[in-house]
Amino acid sequence: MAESPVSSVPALRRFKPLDPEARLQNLMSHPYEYRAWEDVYREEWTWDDVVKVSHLRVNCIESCSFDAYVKDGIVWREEQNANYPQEFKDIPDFNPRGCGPGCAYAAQMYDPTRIRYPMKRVGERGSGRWQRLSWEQAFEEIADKLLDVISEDGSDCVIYDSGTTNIDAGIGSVMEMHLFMACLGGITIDNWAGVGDLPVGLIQSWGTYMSEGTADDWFRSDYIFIWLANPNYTRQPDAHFLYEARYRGAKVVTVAPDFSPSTLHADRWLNPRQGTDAALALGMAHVLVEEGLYDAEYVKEQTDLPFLVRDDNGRFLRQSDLEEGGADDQFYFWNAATGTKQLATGTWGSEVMTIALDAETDPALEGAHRVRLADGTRVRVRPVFELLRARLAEYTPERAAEITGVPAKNMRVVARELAAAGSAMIFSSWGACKHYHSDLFQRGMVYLMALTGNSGGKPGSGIKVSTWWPFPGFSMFTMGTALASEPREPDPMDRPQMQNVSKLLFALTKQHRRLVPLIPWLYAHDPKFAETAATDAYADPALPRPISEYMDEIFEKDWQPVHPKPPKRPRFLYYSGPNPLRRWPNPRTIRDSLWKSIDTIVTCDFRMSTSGMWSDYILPAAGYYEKPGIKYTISYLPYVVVGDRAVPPLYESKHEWDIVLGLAKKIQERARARGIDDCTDINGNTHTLSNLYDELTVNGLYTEGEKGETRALDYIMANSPITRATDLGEQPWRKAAEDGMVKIEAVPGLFMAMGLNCMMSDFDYSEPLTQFGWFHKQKNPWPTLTGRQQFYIDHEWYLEVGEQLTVHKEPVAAGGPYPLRLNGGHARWSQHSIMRANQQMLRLQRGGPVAYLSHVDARERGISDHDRIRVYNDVGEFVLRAKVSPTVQPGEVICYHAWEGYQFPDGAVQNDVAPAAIKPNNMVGDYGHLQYRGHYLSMNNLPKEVAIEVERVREQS
Amino acid sequence: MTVGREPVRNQLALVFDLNKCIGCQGCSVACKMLWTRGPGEEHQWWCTANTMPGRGTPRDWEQMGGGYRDGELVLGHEPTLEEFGGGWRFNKEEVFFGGKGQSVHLTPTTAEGTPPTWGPNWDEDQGAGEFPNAYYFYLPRICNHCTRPACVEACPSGAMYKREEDGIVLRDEDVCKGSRKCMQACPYKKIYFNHVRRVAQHCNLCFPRLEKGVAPACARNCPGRLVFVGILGDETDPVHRLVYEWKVALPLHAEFGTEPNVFYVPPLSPYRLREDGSIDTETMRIPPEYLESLFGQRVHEVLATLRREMERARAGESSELLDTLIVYQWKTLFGPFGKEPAVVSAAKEEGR
Repeated sequence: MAESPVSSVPALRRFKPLDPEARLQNLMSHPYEYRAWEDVYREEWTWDDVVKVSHLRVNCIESCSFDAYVKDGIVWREEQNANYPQEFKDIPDFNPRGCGPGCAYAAQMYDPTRIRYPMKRVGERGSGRWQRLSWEQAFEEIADKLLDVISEDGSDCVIYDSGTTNIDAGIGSVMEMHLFMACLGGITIDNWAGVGDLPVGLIQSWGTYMSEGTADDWFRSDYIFIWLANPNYTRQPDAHFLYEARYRGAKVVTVAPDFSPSTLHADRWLNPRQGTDAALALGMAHVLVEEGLYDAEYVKEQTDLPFLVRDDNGRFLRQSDLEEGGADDQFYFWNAATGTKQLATGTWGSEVMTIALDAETDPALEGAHRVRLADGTRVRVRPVFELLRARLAEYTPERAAEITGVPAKNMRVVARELAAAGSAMIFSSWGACKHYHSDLFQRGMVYLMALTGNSGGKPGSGIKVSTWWPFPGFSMFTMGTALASEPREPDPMDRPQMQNVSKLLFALTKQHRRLVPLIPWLYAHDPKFAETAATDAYADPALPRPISEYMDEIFEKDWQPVHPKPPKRPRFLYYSGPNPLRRWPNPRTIRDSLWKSIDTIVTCDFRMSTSGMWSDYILPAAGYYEKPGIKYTISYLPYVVVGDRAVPPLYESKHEWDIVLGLAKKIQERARARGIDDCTDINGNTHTLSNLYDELTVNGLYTEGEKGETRALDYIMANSPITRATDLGEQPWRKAAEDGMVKIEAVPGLFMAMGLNCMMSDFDYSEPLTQFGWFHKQKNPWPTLTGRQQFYIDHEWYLEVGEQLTVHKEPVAAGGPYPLRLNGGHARWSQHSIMRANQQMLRLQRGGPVAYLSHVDARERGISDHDRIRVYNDVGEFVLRAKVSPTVQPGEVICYHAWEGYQFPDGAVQNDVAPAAIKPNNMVGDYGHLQYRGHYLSMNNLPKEVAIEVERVREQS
Repeated sequence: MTVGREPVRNQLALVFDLNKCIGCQGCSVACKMLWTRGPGEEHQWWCTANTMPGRGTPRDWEQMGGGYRDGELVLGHEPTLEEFGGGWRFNKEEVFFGGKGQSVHLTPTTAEGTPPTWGPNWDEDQGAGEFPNAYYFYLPRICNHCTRPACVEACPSGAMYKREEDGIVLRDEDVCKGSRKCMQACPYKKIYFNHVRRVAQHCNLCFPRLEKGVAPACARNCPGRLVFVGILGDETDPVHRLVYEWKVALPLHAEFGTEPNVFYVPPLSPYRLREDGSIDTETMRIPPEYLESLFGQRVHEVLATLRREMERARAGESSELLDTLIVYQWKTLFGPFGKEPAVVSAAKEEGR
C-alpha cells in the first residue's frame, strides 16, 4: 500500500509552471536523420484481411462487434468495429463497445493448451491423463453410451446442461439444444436460478424480471442508484452512459457495503452492512410515505396498495370470500368516489384486461371497512397501503440506521432526492440475486420505485436488470419442435396481454416437462448435497418447519419439477461451454457423490475447464473467431451483432453445429445397427432415433459444413422477427457478416413478450427505449395475481414467516457460526471462468486467485497483503492470496467470480464453502404468478453472504 | 543526432478524463496485443492503468527520480524487471495434460522461476485512506511524448529523437546500445528494457496509425470514451481547448520538468463521510493535497469548475465544456484521427 502519497508536494510548490502560451511557442523537435527504421513498426501494423467477429457464445450480458485482423492465416489481434451510427444528437452514441477480456481473445485463441482433438480419459476422473481419439471414434463411443442409457433407462436419464455460456443466438447453440431437447427427448437443466441469476423479488412483485430498455435510456435518468451491482466491472461497454448522465446533471448513488469499484464516480455512497439492504429500502420508503412524497395517483393505478386485505387472516379479500362459487383470483378495493367496495379489473381472474381507472373510480389508499363474508361473519378489511404504513412505522430511519449502519440523515437525504428527481433508476442486475434474502432486498427496491412512479414507462426510469431481443436462431423452429423449412408468417398480435402470455407459459410447462431447475435437481439426486442444503441452521430461523419437510412438500405438489424421478438417476451428462463443477454450489461434495454416479460425462469446449478435467470425453469446439454465428441479442442496443469465420477451426476443433450434426449422424447409424428405433419421453412423445439425423437436418436441408451453415443463417436473417424488417438483399447472411451488425427496424409485439424477451414496450426507436410501456402507457395488467405491482403476497408460506410485505431479516448463518461474510460478484477480467486462465488477463492481476480483506480483519488475524489465506467454514474451504484494502467493510471478504478449480491448491473452488441454503418460499406454486416455468421461479444458487472464517497459512515450499 | 532543431509543427497531445475511467484496462490490453507480444516484451505494458493512490508500475515509480531539476537533467533509478513485474509464465501443460491430477495447480512464475512479487496492476482496487473514507481512482498512463524529453537528452548514442511533424518521441532500435540512460532519465518510468534484444522500448503513440489518420489503439479501444486525441495549437481542437481554453486538463507531476503532452481532467469523488457517518457535501473524499501532489495547485479550481458546470447543467443551462466531456459523438474524441482502421489499406497489401 502507498505510504503518504503527498511526499512530492514540497517539490511541487517550488516549481513554477511555464507560461502556457510561451510553452506552445517553444515546443522544439529533436530531429533525426535516419528515420527509415520507423518502417519496422509501420510494417508491424499491417494485415491481410479484416473479418467481422464477435465473442459468440459468451454470456457477458453485452454484445459487441469486433474486427479480427488476420495476417498470414492467423488472427493477429482484434479491435472494436465501432460503426454504430449516431442515433440521436442529444444522446451519446454506442461506440466503441468492447471490454478488456474481449480485446485479448486472440491471445487465448492460440494458447498452446487449447483442446486440439477429441480426448478420452485414461486415468481416474480429474487425473489429467488423456488419450487422443479421432472424431469418428469419439462420436461412436458417445453415441453408443447414449443409446445404452436411452434403451435401458429412458431418455430422461440423459441430461443436457446448456449452462449460460452456450449462447450462440444463431445456429450453434440452437442446433445443440434442439438435438438434446427436441430430438432425443432428454432433460435440460434450467440454470437461470442455478447460477444465482434469478431476481426472485422482482418475480414476486412484477411477475417478470426482464426489466430493461436500451442502454442509452440510462443517460436520460436524473437519479441513478447502483445497488448490489458493479457495472464498472460487468457492463464495460455501456457503463459510460451512467457517467455521461452524471455530467448531464444526474446524481449517482452507489449502495454497497464496500467502497466498490462502481463507487468511484458516484456522488453519494450508502454503505449498509452486508445483507441489510431491505432495511435500507424500508427506511427510505418510510420517509417517502411519512413525508407524503409518494405519487398517490400512480400507486392507485399501478400497484396493489389499494387492494383490501382481511384483518382476521391477513389474506386479500377475494370474490370467493363474499360469494358462493366466487373466484379466488379476483380482488377488491374501496372506491372512494362511490363509497363502496369494488371488484378490481385486470386481476388474474378478471376478464377486463385493463388497469386504467375511469373518472368514477378512485381507489382508497387509507381507511378501514367492514364486509360480510359469504358465511355471514363480518370482517374488517384495510387497503394494503395501511398495512404498508404499519410496517414502515417499524422502520424509521433511526431504526434502519441501527440495523444497516447507514445514518438516518443519509437515508432522509437520498429518499427526498429520489422523490424530487424527474426520473430515477436503480441499476441492479444479477448480482443482486445471490443473497439468501435477496428477494426481500429487491421487493424493497420495487417499493421505492413504485412509490415514486419510477418502475418504468417514462424515460430513464426503472430497475435495470437487462433483457434480450428474441434470439434470431429460434426462428428456425416451429413451436420448438422441428426445424422449419418454410418461413413462419409474422403474428398479427400487436400488444399481447402479459398475463395471458404467463398463463400460457405455465400451462406449456406443465405439459412439456423437460426443463428442470438446478437446485431442486441436485437436492433430489445427491443425498450428500441435500443433507447440507437442508441444514436448518443455515436457513431462516423464522421457518416453522424443517427444510426437508418443505422440500418434500415442494416435490409432492410438483411445484418444482425433477427428472429423472428418483429412484431413476442421471446417467449421461453433456455440456458445451458451461462449467458445472466450478459453478454448482458445494461442488466438492457433488464431485464425490452425484458426479461419481453419472456413467458418462462429455465436455465440449475450446479450452480446458475444471469440469473438463473431471469428465470422460472432451470434444474440441472451435473458438469464437473460427465459426459464423450470432451474438446473443442483448437489448442494450437496437442491433443484432453477428460474427463471421475469420480463420478455419484450429487443429481438429469443430463448430458446434458440425459436432451436433456429426453426433446425430452417428446416433442414427448406431441406432439402426443396434435395432433401436423409437424412444418415448416422459411427456409421451415418440422420438425416432433411427431417423434422428434426417429429422434434425430436415432431410438434408441443414447439413454440416459451410453450405449448411450459410443456408441456416440466411434463413434466420431473412425470417427472424427482429431482422425480417431490415432489407438485407439476396444474400442476407453475407450482408450481415460484412457489416458485423444488423439494425433492428421492428419487433412484433408478440415477440416483445415471449420468454426472455420482455421489454414489454412498443418497439419505437424514435427515442431510447424504456421498459414496461405496456403497463404504464397502455394500462395493460401486470402479469401478477393482482394485475398490479404487488407489494403484498398472501401465499401461506409468506404469511407464516412474516414476508407478506417486505421486511428486514438478519443474514442467515449459512455455512456455520462464523464471523465474516463472503461477498463478490463477476470479475473485470473474465466472463465467468472463460478467461480466468488467459495469460494476459492474469498478468494484469496477481496471477492467481485473490480475496480482498479489510484492514481491521486482516490485522486481527495477522494477515498482510499477499499472504496465503485459508477461507473456510463447516462446508468446505479454499486457499488463495489476500489483498488488504481500506475499501472493504470490516466483516466482509470479497472474492470475485469464477476462478477455476485448477487455480487453487487441491482443486478447491470458491463455491466449496456455499451450502446451497434453501428459502422455501422461492419455490412455491399454485399462486397466480408464483409457480415454476423455465427461467423463472426457483431456488437461487447463493454464493454471497456465506459465513466464513479466514486464517493465514504458510507458503507452500 | 539532434542538430538543426525546428519547432514541432503539430504537437500531438492526449487528454484522459479521469471521471469516466472504469479501470477496465482495455487501453493496456489493446496496446499489448498490438505491440508487445514479442520475445523480451512479456513484461512490457506501454500503457498501464494504475489504481491511485498506489505504488503503481513500476513499483514506487514516483520516487525513482529522473527528469529535470532547476533546468538540469537528473538521472534517477533504472527500474528492474522485478519492479515492473508482469511477464509471468504459467504451467498449463503440466496442469491440464501432465497427468498429475490435483497435485499441481496453475502457478505463475517470473522469468527467473520465482513467484511474482509485483506486476502492472498489482494493487488494483486497494486504494488508500481508512474505511469508510477509503478512496481511489484509475490513472491510465502512456509515454507523455514530452516537450522536454529527458530521455532524448540522456541518450548517449543519439538514438532518441522527437519528430518535427508531430512531436512523437521515438528511439531508433537499430542504433540503441542498451545503455538504459533513457530509463534512468524518464521520471515517469515509462521506458522498458527488452532483455532479449538488448534495446529499450516505449510507447510509440501508434505513429503508424496516426500517420494514416487513425487514433492510437489505447484511445480508440477505450469503452469509457475518455481519451481525447488532438493537436496543440489548433484552437478548434477539443484537446487544445481542454488544456488552454477551459484549462481543465492538467499535466501529471509537472514538477518533473519534462513538460508532458498527456493531460488529465482530474477526478471528482464521492463525498466524505463525517465521524457520525453523515455525508459531508462540502468535501470530496480524495484529499485535495493528494490531487495537488499529482496535478498541481490548479487542480482545486478545475474541480470547482467541473462542479459548477454540473450544477448549471442540473438547472437546465447548457455547458459547452460538459458537452465536450460527455462526447455525444464518439468520433469527436479523435479530432483529425477519426478514420476507421479496418478500411485503411495495409502497407503489406500495397507492397505486394
